[in-house]
Amino acid sequence: MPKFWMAIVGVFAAGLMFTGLVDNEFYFFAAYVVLQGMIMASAWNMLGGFTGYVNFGSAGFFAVGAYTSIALHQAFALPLPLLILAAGLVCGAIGLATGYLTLRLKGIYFAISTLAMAIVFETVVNNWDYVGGASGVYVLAPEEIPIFDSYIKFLFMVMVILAIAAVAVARYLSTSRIGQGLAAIRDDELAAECMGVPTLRLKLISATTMGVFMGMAGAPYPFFVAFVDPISAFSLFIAVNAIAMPLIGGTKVWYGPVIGALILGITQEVTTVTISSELNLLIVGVVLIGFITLAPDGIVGLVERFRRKKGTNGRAAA
Amino acid sequence: MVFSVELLVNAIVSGLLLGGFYAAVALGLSITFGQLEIVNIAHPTFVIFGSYVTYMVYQGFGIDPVLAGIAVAPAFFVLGILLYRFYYVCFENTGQESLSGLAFFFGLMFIIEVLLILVYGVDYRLVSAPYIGQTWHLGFVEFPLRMTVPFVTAVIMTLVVYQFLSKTFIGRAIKAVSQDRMALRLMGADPIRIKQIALGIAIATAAVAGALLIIIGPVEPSVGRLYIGRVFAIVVLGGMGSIGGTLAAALLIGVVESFVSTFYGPSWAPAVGFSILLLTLALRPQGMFGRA
Amino acid sequence: MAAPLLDIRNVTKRFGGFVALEDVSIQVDAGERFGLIGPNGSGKTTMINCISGALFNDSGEIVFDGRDITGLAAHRRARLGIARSFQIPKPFRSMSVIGNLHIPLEFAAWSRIDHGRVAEEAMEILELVGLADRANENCADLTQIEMRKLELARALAAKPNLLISDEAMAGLSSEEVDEILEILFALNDRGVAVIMIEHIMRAVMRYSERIVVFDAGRKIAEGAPDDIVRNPDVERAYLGE
Repeated sequence: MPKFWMAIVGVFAAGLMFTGLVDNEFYFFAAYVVLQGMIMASAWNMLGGFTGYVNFGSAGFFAVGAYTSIALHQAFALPLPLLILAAGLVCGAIGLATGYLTLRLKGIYFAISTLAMAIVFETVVNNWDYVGGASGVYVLAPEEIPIFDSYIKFLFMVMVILAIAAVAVARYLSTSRIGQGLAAIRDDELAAECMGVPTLRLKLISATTMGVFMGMAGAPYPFFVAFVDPISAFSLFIAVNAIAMPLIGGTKVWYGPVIGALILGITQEVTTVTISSELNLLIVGVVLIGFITLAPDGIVGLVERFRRKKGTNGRAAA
Repeated sequence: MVFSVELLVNAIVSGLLLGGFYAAVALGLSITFGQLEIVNIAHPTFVIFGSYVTYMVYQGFGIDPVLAGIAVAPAFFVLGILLYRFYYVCFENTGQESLSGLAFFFGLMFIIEVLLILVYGVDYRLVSAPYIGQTWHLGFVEFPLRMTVPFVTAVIMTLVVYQFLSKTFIGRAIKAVSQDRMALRLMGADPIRIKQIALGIAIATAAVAGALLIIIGPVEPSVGRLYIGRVFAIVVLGGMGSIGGTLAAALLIGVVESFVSTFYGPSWAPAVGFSILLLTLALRPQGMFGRA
Repeated sequence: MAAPLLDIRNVTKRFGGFVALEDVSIQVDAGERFGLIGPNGSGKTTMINCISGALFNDSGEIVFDGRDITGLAAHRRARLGIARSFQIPKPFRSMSVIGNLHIPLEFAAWSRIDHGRVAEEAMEILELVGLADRANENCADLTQIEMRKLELARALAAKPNLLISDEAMAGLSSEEVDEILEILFALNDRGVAVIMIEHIMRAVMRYSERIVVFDAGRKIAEGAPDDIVRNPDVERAYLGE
């Protein structure tokens, strides 16, 4: 257990050192995107991987977080940490509400509902002129830059902290008693319910937590891109990435999304710079289908299978 | 918001015409989701694909779009068969939960859309035919032909499929396979062959629906996403496994959308289908005519 | 006379137009060995689903341990002490054999066990059913009878006062049937009331103190095994007119 927390401190320290040593801002922009992917992937996996309820509307939560941030920033000029908290609260509430409405149905209906929810929110934002409506809105970064010498370094560290939080919570969810219950739900929901697992309550906990972190991931986004419009915020690419990354890494464990985010995120950044960003769209779609059909347990699953074949102690991950 | 009887009646009429077309789009999904329990989220994207193929045939040979759609339907039928084979091998056979299949179709939808963007770009494509642009008038009621022709075609296609499912052996086998695979086998029909024919039919309807779509209006790759909500709302509202329910629900949603568009503005229309879907799932998940 | 552990009063359950259970009333006493038999489709599994909470009855009440549990969620009933095995085993496939037992221990039985002894309790139960040597294997590698034992072990791990065994012996050989029967007797020795649903008559006859017979959603007979065997209504239900 202490090993994990030491690693956390190490990551945080490494992030700080990075901001001190490196000056080329490009690396921070790229790292921001990868970290964003990691937060979204970890959050998605809290529900999708741990319970088996697939969310296709991740972009919806992300964008609502971003637009909450925009609206509050325009109305009250709140500092970023408060905006993040607010976005987390709003999206957590949305996760709870939609979960309550749809998690009592079969997983398929839940999945479709998440798409529905995302489009409904996109339509609302399209018609909401205060945040720019369909034409979008420009967001100016605040004049004063806290602590660091450039704004992107500040945003980078914010995302490092959020990513650490998301991964830590995902780890807690999966290794705790709650996590046992979630795994039981994923394996056989009816049997779990009959064995005393409060399935609805646990699913709602997962859905709410997922909403919270996706909203928080979206909150700094307006300051990162400076121009936000519904098409980019609600982009299907975000939703697909949120599914593909955990799938590549492995959905049954908390570190699967981390692995997947690093692999896919870094690949996408490299591709954007070297070939084109459109190609990323094709890559992520192909990767998603490839892993779903050939390696549904992700890289972690492949390693497990390899180890089991070699005859080492094959205890399934709890 | 000017409220007049003329406006109201025309809103209803155009809603019905639109709804009929929606039924054509939802028909394929009603088969796959309702009878086969395959959640093909990518179905609207196949429709868009059908629109583009129709466009190509129209550009190349100059034939009427509806005929073009019907002409390519057999190719789409084969595509549906191949799709089912792939799906079966990867998902049904291995006993994976259908959620993996769902994610597969989600990825497929994304890939098709991206490929269309890469090949055709994001500009709108459209076709023209003698009847596009004409409007029949019945008193003050307007029947734009670019909507009426698709409406008629859609209703005919729905009736044909309905008859096929009720009256032919294969059709009834398709209905049976969702209810009891073992009984079907005992009756001498191979469930796999039946299911692949069903998916073939579903994708073939997508070809025709795509042709109708590009008659109604210009098409670009991401238009498919607007239809996801509509078609799932239609299939769920109509009730699983009910073709008649699909048509009824499609007409209903068409009218509601038309109302919202006319009196509140067209930018709210996409939310209608999805909102109805959410409401139906929350309040009456078996839909209007579905089996419990 | 003590109140029954399980009191089912006038329960009716419909699926659309089909009446699966019609005005059924049953009482099961604490520690009793209770048999439930009847032709296929007579409503036995529907009855268990209504008792365990997988389904909710349309009318009537279900009272357990003095408490009205009609409409109570299944997981709460499990915590109150109702456990069931499934006719077609539904193990938690990503977990090991002993891991499967952790779930009912940590959820259904959580308030009734010493939290520090979960692993020991699980092991004891595995020893009772004879799966101790398979504890760390993945359940995908189990044989047919081992799966059935795991089903029972899992239900046991919920520390129930009432256990419902749904056709645990179907398709097993004669020796295997006896193995399962021994487990169920051992269970009952610990004070657990058991409702056994079976088609294997010799098992039901040997095991049950009292038997109820269902046919077409109704209770058509009730009594000691010897009386049931001689009951003409029962014979008619199974063999037809």
